[in-house]
Amino acid sequence: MENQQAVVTGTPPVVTEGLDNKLDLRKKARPHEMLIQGFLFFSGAVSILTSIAIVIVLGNEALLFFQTPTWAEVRDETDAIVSLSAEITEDTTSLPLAENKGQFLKAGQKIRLDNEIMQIVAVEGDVLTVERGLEDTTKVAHQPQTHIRLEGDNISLVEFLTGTSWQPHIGEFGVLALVSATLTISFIAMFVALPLGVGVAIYLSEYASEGSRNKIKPILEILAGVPTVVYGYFALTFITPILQGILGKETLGIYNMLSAGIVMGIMILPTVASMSEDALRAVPRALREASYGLGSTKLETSTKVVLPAGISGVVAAFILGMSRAVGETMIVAIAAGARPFFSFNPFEAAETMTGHIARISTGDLPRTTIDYNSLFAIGLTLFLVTLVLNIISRQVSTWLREEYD
Amino acid sequence: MSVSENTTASTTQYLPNEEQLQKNIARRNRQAKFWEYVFLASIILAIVSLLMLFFSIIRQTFSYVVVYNQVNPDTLADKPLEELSSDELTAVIITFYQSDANDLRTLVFNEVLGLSSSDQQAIRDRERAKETVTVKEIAGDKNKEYPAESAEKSIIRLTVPEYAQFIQLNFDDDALYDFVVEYVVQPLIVGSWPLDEYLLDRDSIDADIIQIEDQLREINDDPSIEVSEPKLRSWLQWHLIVDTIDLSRPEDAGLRTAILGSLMMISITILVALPLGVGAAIYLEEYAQGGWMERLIQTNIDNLAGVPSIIYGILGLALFVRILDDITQGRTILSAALTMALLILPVIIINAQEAIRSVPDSLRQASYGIGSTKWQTVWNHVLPNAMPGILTGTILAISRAFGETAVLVVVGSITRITVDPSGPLSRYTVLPLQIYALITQPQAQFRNVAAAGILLLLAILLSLNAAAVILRNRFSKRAV
Amino acid sequence: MQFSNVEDILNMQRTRSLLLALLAVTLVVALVAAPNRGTKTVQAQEPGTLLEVAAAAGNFTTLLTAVEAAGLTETLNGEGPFTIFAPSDEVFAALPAETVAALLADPALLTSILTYHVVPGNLLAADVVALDGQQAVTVQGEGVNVAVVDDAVVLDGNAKVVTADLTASNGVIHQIDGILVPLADVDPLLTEGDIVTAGSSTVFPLTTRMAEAFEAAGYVDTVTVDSVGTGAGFERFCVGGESDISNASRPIKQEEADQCATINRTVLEFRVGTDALAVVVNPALECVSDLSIAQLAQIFSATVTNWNEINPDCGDIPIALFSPGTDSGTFDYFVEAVFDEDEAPILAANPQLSEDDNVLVQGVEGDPGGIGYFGYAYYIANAGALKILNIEGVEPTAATAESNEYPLSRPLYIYSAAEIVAEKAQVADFVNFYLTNVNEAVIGVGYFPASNAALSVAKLNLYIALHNAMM
Repeated sequence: MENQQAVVTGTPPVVTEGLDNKLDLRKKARPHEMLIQGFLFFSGAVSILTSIAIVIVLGNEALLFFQTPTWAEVRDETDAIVSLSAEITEDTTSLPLAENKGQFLKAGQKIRLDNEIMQIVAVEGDVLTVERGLEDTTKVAHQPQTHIRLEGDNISLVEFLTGTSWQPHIGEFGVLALVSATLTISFIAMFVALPLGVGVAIYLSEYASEGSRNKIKPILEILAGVPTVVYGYFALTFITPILQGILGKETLGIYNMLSAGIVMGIMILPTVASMSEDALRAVPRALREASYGLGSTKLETSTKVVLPAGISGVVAAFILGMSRAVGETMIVAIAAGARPFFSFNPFEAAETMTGHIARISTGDLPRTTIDYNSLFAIGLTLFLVTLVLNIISRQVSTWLREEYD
Repeated sequence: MSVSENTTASTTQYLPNEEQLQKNIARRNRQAKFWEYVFLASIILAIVSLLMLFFSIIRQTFSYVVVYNQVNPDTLADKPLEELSSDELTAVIITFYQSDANDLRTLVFNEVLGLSSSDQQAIRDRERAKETVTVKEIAGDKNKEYPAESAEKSIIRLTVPEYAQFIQLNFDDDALYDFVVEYVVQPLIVGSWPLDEYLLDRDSIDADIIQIEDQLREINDDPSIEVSEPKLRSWLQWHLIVDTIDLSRPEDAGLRTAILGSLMMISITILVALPLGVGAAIYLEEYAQGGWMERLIQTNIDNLAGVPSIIYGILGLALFVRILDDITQGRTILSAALTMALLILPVIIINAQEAIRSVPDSLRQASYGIGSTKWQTVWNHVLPNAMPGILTGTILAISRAFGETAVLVVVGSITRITVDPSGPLSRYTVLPLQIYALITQPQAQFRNVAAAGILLLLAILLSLNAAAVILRNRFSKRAV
Repeated sequence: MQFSNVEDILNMQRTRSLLLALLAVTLVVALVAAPNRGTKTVQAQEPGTLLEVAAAAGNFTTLLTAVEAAGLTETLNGEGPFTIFAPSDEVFAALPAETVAALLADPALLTSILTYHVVPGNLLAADVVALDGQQAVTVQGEGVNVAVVDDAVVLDGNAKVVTADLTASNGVIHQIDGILVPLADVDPLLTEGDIVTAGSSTVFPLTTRMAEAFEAAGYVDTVTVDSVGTGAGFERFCVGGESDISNASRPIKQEEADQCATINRTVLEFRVGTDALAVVVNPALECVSDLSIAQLAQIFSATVTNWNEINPDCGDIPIALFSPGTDSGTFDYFVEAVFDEDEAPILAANPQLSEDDNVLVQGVEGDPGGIGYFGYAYYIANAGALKILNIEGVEPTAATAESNEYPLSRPLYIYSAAEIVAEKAQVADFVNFYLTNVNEAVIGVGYFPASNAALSVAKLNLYIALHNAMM
């Protein structure tokens, strides 16, 4: 108790009265310590700054994404694209269209050719009179067959969250196409990692001798330390061919969610196992003794007493594992395929949120495109999903700690 | 005995009889045993997964390959190459490089004189300044023989026969033969099969070889082309570490640039993240008063530790690559290192906090007792005692950064770079990124290179982790 | 420099060269033929002067006009003897109008180029062949590299002698199929400074190969080659100004060139080869060997989803689509050629998209109903794993690609800017080296070589830019 007292007071008490005047024991100003303390505080604040930066960067660019109007090609009754019929220079204000295509446009509409935005002043037959170079776009010449794009609505949050097709180039922004693959793969991963992980945890905490425990744990740590790009390699060059051998190449393409999910399960196995093991070991010995005292076998003690007592830790491990799976990138980028596709069929190839971000950014997106902004909208979604999962996981494991403290 | 029998008898109506009880216990024990095996099986399965993972890499690192000679040796001379004399081999070189004096010069520089790229740059700079860099000077420097008649000529302006003579003078017959094979005959690996496939499925490989031969014949319009017999090749070779990447010849592809890039990036990352991380840990453990600010920071750090790495990549792309472009010069090692520093910061902080927390309070009190200030206490007593723990955390963080790919996929993007990074502002690639690029190459041989690269990467990571474990064990023994 | 679409340029060229030719004929007839008529009849057996022989041959009219414009008529009618390597009219016809205009406007430039086609002395075909591997020093001062490749004489790597030994009284004329450009030989060892290139994944292997060749020939600094797609490549080149050279698998668009102009870059275009898109299927799919463009459109818009709808013999094999990513020039080109530039149908069909062609190769290889398309190079590198289809009954070969008979063939370019080559000597050196040596590498990479005429145009563009920079 005394010890703690001293820590709380921090500096030792300074006594000045009754001492020789030559010895000045008053607290000296130590500017460099202030400086150091300032630096220490700054170090702590960096993490806050990082979070703020993440939120601002993701939020800001994602906001741009939701403020961008879509520009859809104007189509005639046969679904063919309406385009310029002849070249126009940067100065002309009349746009010639092919025969009978004038009817698909009206005065007052905002249109875009290449990157230039214009407003239609009048439509006479198949010739549009326009105002050129609106919204700070530059007037440039346009080739014949340039598509006429019509301003559409902004991308709505509802469309983003409920649409099931992700094709930015044709104005479809349904993030569910990506989320479905993320969920499918994560569930396959958990389907592998949870039973295995809990099995490993029970064995380690209830059955294994200290000696074998010390041998097995490092193996799990190796699994945890393998870089994800290696797991991707493993999935693509080893697991997928084996699965194709079992299921047939007709059923399972080279890129599929199954293989990625299984390997991801192996990847998060150590996380689930070690968190669950910690939870089980945290269950007080008294509970076990009581159970044995009643004549329970080891199995009954483990599954009917220890596991229920430590269940919140296991649940926390499950959720954290899920969050890892959702955020994992390289395995899916290498093995799961490269098309956004709304499907929960594990034999299909589909792109996850992370896989999409990785693919899009390797292409080095031009900054001004909707693709670039969409990156941040997906990133924000991903960030929020994992954040919520992490918070739940930590909350659940706190309950456990409170239970037996 | 009789007592117990009595007891049993008197309670029969509530408890199962002896037989039933024994049966029941046996059943329960059997069940317990069965599940024990199930739990054991989970562990075995985990270990098997790890073994399969290693196996999937080993089988590609050591593969069976077939080779095709790009220049048919029979067309070079009227005798088999092995029987040619030194002069005849030199003549072969002269004929072959007749119109490529520059290429032969580069070979002389690299293979005979062993000039580094900075040596070559120095020669270039002097020649650009109209100075003549003589054969005598350079060859003398490197203790190499040179043709006496060209001693005073510029080393960069010799004729093909003069360069060839240079090679002949410095190479014995065997070395000269090897040189001709490598740079004139130019054998090329055209097929590669994993170790186990070769051992278990020869037939399909034979069929593949016939197909490869047919293709080569068609492409080169030469029906006489034949490939060699399959032979075992280890892709984990010294040149993998010392050579630069070559995306057209897998057998020449090395990872030097990537390894150096990784090392340089990690150094900067640690330089940034270590002081910040330890500083934050000290602040939270020693200075914090438990106010809302500290709680916020603490919660925040825990949350940051769970943010997917690709999000850090996006942050790095927007912040370091785009917004701070003036400082970081875009996609440079500095941008990557700063992004990576943010990524590993939570790992360092959390580990350092734990280490600081485990320093016994008595040490602090003793320090205060002799009149130390807070900082003196932290600096002289807490930090030295927490050091092993902090180092363990740092090593773990380094190993995380070493293997991290997703972040760099977003902030990096160099697909081919052969020049070593020269500073924080140079363009770069790193080992896992290079491996990723290799995996996505279509030819099977690049998977072999990738596998060898992965072995290298794993070796580095495992030794880092082993170091951390050893350090941690020592530390925990001392703390007890 | 204006870049309208290809057809336009061609039209303009035709008109321009027709005019030039007409002008030339008039001039030549008036200036050369008339005063010499008398002597010619007397020496019926003796050939006339170089210019007379050229005029008589009938296909050097543009050259003669240029000789006139440069004021070299007198020299070439003089004693000599001279050997002229004469580009025929077709070669000049391939020049873009701007290039012709730039040449005719600058007599110094024109003279330097024309005199580079003239070697003092009377070098008959046999004498030229004897120069294999050496240089012939021209009147201009620089030497022309002579090489004998496959029994033909090739000058400076990209002009072949097509008709030799048109003898004249004061020399000899050899007809060539490209324009010789007096760019000095590059010694890559003496080239200093880094070079940054980015762009098309299709051109990537070619530029990589040329970078490796540049290094093999002594270059000791860095060429970076980023494979990011044609569009993103131009973004880096014209907006960010990050790259020195932009690799492209389509001509630059007007708006991209305009953007370049705003950051003070005048685009220079260099044609380096021809690519054919290979449409490939899994080799197990034996029932299909030829598709029409219409069928391709059906397949890639998911109008048909099973191979038995294409050919009933196929059996029930679902079609799996693989396509290069939307950022790649390959995708743009496919959409242009198959879907009339309308991206919607192919994207709605939801193919597997990847910027990385290798991913597609692996995909088609791994899926029995897989079909994909990409540059011919990737097919060559993976020929065993894939089966290539004929399109509209035409097999993709060098001949069908070059003649445009194969419907899915397209040109490959590298782009730089006049300001860049003027400022960074290393970029000029690399482009020069690239253009001189590309034909040796291009087939190995899996593309079809650009014609000598196209390469001369590219070199000429570089030369003019460097020449203007010196002024």
